[in-house]
Amino acid sequence: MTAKTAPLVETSHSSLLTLEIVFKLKVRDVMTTNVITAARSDTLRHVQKLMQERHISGVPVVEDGRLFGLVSVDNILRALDFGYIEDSVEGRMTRNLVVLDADMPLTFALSWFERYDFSRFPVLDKEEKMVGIVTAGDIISKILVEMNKEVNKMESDNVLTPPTTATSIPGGRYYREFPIKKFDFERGGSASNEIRRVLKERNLSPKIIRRVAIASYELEINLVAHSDGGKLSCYIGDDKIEIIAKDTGPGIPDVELAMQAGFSTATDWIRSLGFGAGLGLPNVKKASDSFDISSQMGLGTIVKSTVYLDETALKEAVGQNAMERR
Amino acid sequence: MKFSDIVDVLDARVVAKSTAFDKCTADSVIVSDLMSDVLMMEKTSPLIVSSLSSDQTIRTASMVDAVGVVIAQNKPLPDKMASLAVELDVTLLHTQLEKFECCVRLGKLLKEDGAA
Repeated sequence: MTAKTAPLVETSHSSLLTLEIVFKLKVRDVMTTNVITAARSDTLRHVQKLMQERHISGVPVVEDGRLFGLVSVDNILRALDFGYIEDSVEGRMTRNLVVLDADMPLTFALSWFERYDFSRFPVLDKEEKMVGIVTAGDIISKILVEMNKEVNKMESDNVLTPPTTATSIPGGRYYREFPIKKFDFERGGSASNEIRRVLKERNLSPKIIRRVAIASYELEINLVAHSDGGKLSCYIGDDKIEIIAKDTGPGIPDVELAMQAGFSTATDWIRSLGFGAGLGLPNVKKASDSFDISSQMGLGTIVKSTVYLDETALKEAVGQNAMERR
Repeated sequence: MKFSDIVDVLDARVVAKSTAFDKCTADSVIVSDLMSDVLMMEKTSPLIVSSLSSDQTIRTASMVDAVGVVIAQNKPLPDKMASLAVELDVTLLHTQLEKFECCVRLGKLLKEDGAA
């Protein structure tokens, strides 16, 4: 297996529109569901005919939804070369397959096309049943369709999106909202980097900056990994800094449980990015002088982290106990 | 620990140099592939050793004021990781050594620094 040199979609040079489309799509949105399959007892000759008739280059071997392997053109060419084209599929198919999860974001699938030299990936659902197949062609077609839709929408709306609201009030007050997209791990953390830069510019103490940065970063990653998307906002007042993460769903079923260190609903691919250890919300709380969370299923979650800039403000707001904890 | 010594003991390649590369010192080490763990630790001027070769490792390092990041086990670096390290002013080193070996060598270096 060799790594491909040219990525299918070069996310670092793509237009914002393409990126937005790529980020909002999941594997299930692009996959082909009407998949032509073979059974283990079928002969390679049968599969060869299927490929010729249906103009396809790979046939998954599936029985009752369970994926056993895949027969590729390469397998067929070898069978013809070595004279075992009449053999059954079972002993000759490719068994070591890389599969995608239907709920994975498309960005993940794109990275797999870069990582593995495969032309197609079978897609499994949560019950590990094969529900589709994804080829590079499927992805490009879907992106083109979505781009067309977006362009039509932009033309009919003819409305420009206003720039991100940023208000710098003389005297040091500051407010800015950062839109955060679901599963946008590539840019996840960039809003917090910007917040940290603004705090550093204001010569705040390194300890305060660090606490705000940690709270902000964890909340931003939570928005990326667990929400349907939302906003991260930062308010720098005369005596406090507030970071607010607000999302539009899905909501946390049990907030108390979510606040326990070690509890996580993260999937394996979130964990593969270094997150999802169930420390996010407890970490935010630890970094904050004051911490509020409210969540409603179907509506969304709001988390507010406040760090006070001086001890007088802290004492007035949260009392002596919190100061001692600090 | 100075970076010149860290690079030396880890037999590391310098991928990105922060502006403080020549003058700063790492006073502690955090070894983890879990960025939430890194964010939870309160250490002064830490050096992060990880085999998580991802932009998020650089972003996390920046959040905790780490002096640098060592990507161990010869993990390939994503294309934009070096430029992000430069943008966020974080030193990025790359070594073939396993994390445990990094710990052993850095521990020895920290001890020597403490004794000096």
